[in-house]
Amino acid sequence: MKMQGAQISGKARVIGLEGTVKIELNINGEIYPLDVEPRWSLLKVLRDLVGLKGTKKGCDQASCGSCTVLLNGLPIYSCITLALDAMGKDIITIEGLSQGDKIDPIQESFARHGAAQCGFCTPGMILSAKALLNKAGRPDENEIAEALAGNLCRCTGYSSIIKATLETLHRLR
Amino acid sequence: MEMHPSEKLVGKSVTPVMAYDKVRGSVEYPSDITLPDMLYAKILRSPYPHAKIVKICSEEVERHAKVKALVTYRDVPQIPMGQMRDMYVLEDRVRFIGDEVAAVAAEDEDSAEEALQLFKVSYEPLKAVFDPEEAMRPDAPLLYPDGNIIRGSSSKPTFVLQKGDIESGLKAADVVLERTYSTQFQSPLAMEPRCCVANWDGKRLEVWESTQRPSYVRDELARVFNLAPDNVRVVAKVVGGAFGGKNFVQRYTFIASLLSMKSGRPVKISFDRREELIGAYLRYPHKICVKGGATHDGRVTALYLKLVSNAGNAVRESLTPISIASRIPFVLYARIPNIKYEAYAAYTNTPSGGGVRGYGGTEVGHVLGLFMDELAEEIGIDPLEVYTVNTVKMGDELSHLAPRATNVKVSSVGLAECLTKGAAAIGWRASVPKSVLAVSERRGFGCAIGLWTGAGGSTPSGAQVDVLEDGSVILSNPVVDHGGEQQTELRQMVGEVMGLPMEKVTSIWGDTDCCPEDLTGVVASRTTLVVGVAAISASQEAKKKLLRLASEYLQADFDDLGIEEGLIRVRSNRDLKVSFGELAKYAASRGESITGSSTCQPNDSIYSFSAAFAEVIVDVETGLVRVSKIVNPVDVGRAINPLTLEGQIVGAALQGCGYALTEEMTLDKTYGFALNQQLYDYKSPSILDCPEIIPIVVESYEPLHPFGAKGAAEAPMVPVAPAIVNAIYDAVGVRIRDLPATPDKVLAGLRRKG
Repeated sequence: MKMQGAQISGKARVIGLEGTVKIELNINGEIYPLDVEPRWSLLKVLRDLVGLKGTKKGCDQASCGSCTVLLNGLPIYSCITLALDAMGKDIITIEGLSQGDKIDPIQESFARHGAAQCGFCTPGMILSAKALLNKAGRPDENEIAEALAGNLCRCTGYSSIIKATLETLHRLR
Repeated sequence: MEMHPSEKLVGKSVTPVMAYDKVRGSVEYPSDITLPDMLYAKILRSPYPHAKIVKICSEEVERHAKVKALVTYRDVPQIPMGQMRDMYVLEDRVRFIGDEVAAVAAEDEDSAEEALQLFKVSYEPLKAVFDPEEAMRPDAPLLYPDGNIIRGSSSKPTFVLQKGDIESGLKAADVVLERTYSTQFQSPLAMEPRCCVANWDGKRLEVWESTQRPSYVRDELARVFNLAPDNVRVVAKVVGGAFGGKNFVQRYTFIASLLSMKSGRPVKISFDRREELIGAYLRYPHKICVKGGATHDGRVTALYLKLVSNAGNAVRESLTPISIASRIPFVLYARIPNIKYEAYAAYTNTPSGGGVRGYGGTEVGHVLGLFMDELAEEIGIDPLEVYTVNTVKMGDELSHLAPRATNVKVSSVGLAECLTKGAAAIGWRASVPKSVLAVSERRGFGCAIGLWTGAGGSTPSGAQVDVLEDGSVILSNPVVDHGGEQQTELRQMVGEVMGLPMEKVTSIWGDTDCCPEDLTGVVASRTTLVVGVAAISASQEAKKKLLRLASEYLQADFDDLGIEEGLIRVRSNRDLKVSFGELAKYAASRGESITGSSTCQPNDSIYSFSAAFAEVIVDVETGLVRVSKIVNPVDVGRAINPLTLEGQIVGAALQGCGYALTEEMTLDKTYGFALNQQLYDYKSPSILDCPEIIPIVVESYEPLHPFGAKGAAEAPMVPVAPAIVNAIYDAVGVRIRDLPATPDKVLAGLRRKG
């Protein structure tokens, strides 16, 4: 039996740039000097170098949204964003939404509506919602769904997530 | 109307106790665990669907500067694992594309990945088989020496259960129908790909693991590595979703442990998404033939089901889905006098079948949901009548338990209420609402019923309650949180019994070193009843000890004492009082502690019932089905926490939508490998696919639970897919008998209809 195209093991071998470069990243309002390999994703740098583990790795392929962070206020997949490309931009992770006991209203709403079940998609989901709330206007349920469509959740069936976002919207506007 | 005016916590939508940590992103999942000096391991997987490993040359791997340990089949204990004892940690044989061949641990993940390429493996390819019916033929290539049919042969099913006589039942029928259905591989698709960290210190093995069953994983690690169970610790506190997919043991845990033993350092294995999709478990696909007959009044006189199930390359996990699926005909349709359920499970060179929400029941429930709809149409009556006439009623004897136990009666059934409330909510058979449809769109309604275990499992669960000197109580329990937030409902129940507010009840869980035993784990919708009853009994014992001590301390009559908010007062003299904390100190001064502990057995006579009503809109030009509404009533006995309960129902309903319409692991016909190995082509519902989902809680008060509750996580899923598929028929007259109901099948059906 001859096998074609069925090799499952292994990604392409890492070729090219070796060694690290020194960069600075502005994460949650703080400057972090870092040594990174140019090929490293922002997700890897946040989790493994900075130790901000609230940003989750669910697929590493821009398909689930668990790794969502805000870059200059816009939600992006940190798994397909190079750390180098985040230089000079404001990075907000889930850890940046709370200060001590004070949490963001969107976090409060998610908690009270049971919008976090296993909680693994929650940081990314909250940041996508936060980006929407930061914009002007009064998005309706459909616009909320559009804004969160890049974030997969397997637990909630999304309805508590929409309720939590709507409620925050009502409180803020 | 307040039905339980005296209850302060039970029945209330208390905010989940871990919610604030989850929204902050501060919960530590297995994938977040990092230990000092930790190595990262990767698994080499088979490129062949079926082959013997002739030779593995690993010299180059060993020479890689960053590799610290490797394992092949030559390094593993020769002790078989799994329910069928049909797998080893590694073998010189591979049985599907993706099977584990070897593994390396290196200083970083990239180096481990790189080192995998340096293995030189010589395979001797063997003939492979991917279809269970082909695997059952006598000339099929064998995956295991005992034959491909698990625990059976071509004349002996893997599992069979029957009552009455099918032939005479069919003779009594006015209408007889025979249909064949099929269901697909579905991934549980937890958002966190599984991960484990193993740390061997020369004497003790510690493992942080993505599991629903820490106690079982500990016992299996101890058995395979010949260690005392006390020298193995398994920790799983919060896991990023499971849905049955993190049930049982998996090879990677043993591989990580071996690599740690060889390297003397902690080792982490994280599955990538592709490994999680194909290297873990999938819902068993089945081909199911159903033959049944009914009289004109809708009474089903005979029901015969024959399943052929694809168990995949190994029963890595469990055959339970095959046997427990019989609960759908035997318990749900208990009033049918003649039933035969026979199932053949066959090995094939495909990914593994295993646990996914309501396993077995979801598939057979789906098929019977479709069959009853067809039968009702054939007779010319409303399917609700078929459901009403043939299903289990309070006090019916549970024949599936015979001959182990006879005369066991079902103790709580809220199915009739599920049907009436659901029908009212969707407007069943009422005039169709006049919302505007496009020219090519057709609207349809469908319904189905379901049930799943309300106190499932095979072994008891334990719980312990301790009163602390600060006046709080702590509940030790075995319940891993993989999204159910059961710590919340357990603390509510303990607080209710002890007369304490939520903030005075804490808990510890998910660590085999300090938590009570639970070999079955957080599966089978069992926590609310099984662990719940253990926690309640433990609380009652601790409370009794408190009162006894208080009676001594206050020199008051035991019966004259009452508890409120952490204080014990003498009823006849309310100034005489003592706090829990003071009593705990008093007990400590005498070298005593105020503790209660208990265990509770699972119960195969307790079931949670459900119905689903679906409204769909089908586009006859594109074949696309849009679910616009799901009404999902569930008999949960009693809602302990309506908020977390509704989260379970709505989540299950959407998984049912995915199962009905989009989710399928498609296999290549020639090599049996999964064609959609990533999230972008395995279609789990997104927020844009979400219909309006209306959960309805039905409370039938299960007498075996002091608050009347039973399980709830799986029953809601069972009737959703058949309700949707029946609604498609209602809309466009096309019966889709093989899941999922994708647009091509709808269009093909429309073409056949002409």
